Amino acid sequence: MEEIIRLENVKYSYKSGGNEVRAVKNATATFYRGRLYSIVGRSGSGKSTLLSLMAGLDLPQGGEIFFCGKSLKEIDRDHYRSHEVGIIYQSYNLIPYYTAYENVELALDVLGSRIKNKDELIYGVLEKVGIDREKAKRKASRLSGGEQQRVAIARALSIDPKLILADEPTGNLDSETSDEICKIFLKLAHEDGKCVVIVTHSKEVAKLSDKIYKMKDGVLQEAKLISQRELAEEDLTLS
Amino acid sequence: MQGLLKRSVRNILRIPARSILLGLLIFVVSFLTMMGFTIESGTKTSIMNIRRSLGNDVRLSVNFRELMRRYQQGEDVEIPTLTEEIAKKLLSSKYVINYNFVISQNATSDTIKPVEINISTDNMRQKAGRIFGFGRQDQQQTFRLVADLKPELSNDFRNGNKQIIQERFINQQDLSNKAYVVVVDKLLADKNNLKVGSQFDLKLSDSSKSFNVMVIGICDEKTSTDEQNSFSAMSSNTIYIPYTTLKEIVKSIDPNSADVITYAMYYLDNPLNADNFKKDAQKLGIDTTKYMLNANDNLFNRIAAPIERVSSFSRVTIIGILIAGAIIIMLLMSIVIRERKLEIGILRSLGLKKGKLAAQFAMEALIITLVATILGGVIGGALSQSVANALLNKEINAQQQAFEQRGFMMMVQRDANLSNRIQERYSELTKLEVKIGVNEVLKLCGVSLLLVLCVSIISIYSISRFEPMSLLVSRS
Repeated sequence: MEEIIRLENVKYSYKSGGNEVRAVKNATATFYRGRLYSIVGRSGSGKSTLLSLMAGLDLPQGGEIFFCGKSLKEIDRDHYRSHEVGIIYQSYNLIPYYTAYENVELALDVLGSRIKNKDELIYGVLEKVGIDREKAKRKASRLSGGEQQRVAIARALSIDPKLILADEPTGNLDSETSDEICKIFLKLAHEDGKCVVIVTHSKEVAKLSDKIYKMKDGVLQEAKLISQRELAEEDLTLS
Repeated sequence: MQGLLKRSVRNILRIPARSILLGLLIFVVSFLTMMGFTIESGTKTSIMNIRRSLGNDVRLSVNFRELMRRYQQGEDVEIPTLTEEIAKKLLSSKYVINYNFVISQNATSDTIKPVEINISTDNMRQKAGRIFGFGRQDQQQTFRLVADLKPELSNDFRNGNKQIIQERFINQQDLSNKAYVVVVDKLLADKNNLKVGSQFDLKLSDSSKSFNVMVIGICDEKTSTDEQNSFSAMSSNTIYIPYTTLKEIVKSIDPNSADVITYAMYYLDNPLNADNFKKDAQKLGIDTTKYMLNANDNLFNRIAAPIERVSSFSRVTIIGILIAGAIIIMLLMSIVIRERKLEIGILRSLGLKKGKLAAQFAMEALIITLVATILGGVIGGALSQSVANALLNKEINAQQQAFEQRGFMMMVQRDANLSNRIQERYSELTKLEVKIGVNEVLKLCGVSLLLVLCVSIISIYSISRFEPMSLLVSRS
């Protein structure tokens, strides 16, 4: 199996209200191509911080993160984010006064390379996540939560990344929409061969994963590969 | 680059309120600075025109003003004498293209009578005495003898106040022969029944030794209005005599004063070099506490004062607006950037480099500034003439009121040194014609770039401070 991202004793802390918060403690894990991973845990357990470190938004203060065998310390992290990683957030993080189309186009602009048939690519990727041409022309602020999340996924996919990181992608969505979004992630991993890592509170999302990691007080624990039944019995009560 | 431009235009159009606010601010700054630049440039041109119109002559004389000041402070003051030797020092200045030395002496006569001066007020009588060099007691008894080293440069004739109406003026031959010949005014000639060829006696004040002179020419005032009559009468008692002759007469009375002159005139290559010439004079050893160089400075200051006040007002306005504008724009930008933190975070998380992000913000600022500057520049330039006129009229009125209060108004209109040519052009010279030139446009472009720079500095500073992780994670 092709290794996409590997964490080795990753540590990260930050100051909050004058106190030092050790958000991530010696996290070690390897994530492979074509797999869907979930990281579950209570609020404030350090899941989102870990995901941000994997996204190259910051560097760990201890340990190392390797992308395709190369340390993130040694590569241009801006280039890494623009070419190799698609990031999806709970709050979508779309530019509200841009249309769905323009939000996707933004990622391609940052990519920098001249793209032939850009329109086709953008509309194609939007259609893939269920946004038709009419909705693609609407401003992001005029789309529903589910639609905005689809646009955010489309934006992440538009650059054809090896790694997709999603931080609570269904956190603001109803269960029906949430299911649809989960199916998209599953398809991306199993059919398109992406490495998808989802930080979630949701049992339903975690159930679909190939592997589940639990995060507790900054410690990342690999959950045993469990069956659907076992998963249902696993304590994922998070809040 | 294309993507950057497209995104910038999109951002400007999508949030019109933000763009309009910034644009409006830059418009006001551009509008006012353009107005300031054109007015400032117009005042410079006007001041240069005034300097040119006042002529290229600079007068070297004893600095009585400084001596008086020192005397009033209780110092022992010895009145210095101006000699040909001192005056010749300045001839080595590269700006001097011609010169004239003048001796002026008071004289009396037993054979002719001076033209009576009919001055209505004591105040004016005093002024007349001050200008023509005689005191109140003896003003009706004396004549003024004027001798020019170069008769063709005689001041009264050169500036157009007087003209020869009979025969001729003094020439080089008279100087070479040290001839006892004179040119008298028509009023003086009429009063004493003098004609060309008539002879009469004169003696210098403070001397009992008289000498006989012959009239070789008669001159007259070129223009004479009612209000000028008093001054014309005083001027009529001026008698022109060859330089060498007067020098010989002075020497015969006091050999030590043979080299003494009243003043020296220097004619410069360009009127605008007057200040440079004054600097040269100091280098050449002219003691400014004893001697003064006057490039019609009083007159220049009087005519140019309102324009200079408008100039300094516009200069202060420009500086004030630029400082205030830059501060307000920077504050506004810091608010705008704060408001755009999400956008910055998104773009950074998508991998856009800080430099490119700053370039995008700078591009947006550049586009807004460009549009606002063009509008501000055009409208500011178009309105600057009206504003300049209003400012200048205000200043002229203020100056006129001040002069009227001090009773100087008449002196402004009729100065002893004010040539007819200047009088005719007085109202024209005090006009302010502003126009937009290349310099003003370039200066405005400089201001625009400065504003863009301010905006960019704030953008770069903010962008370098923001980390996408803190921007986006905290939001999530």
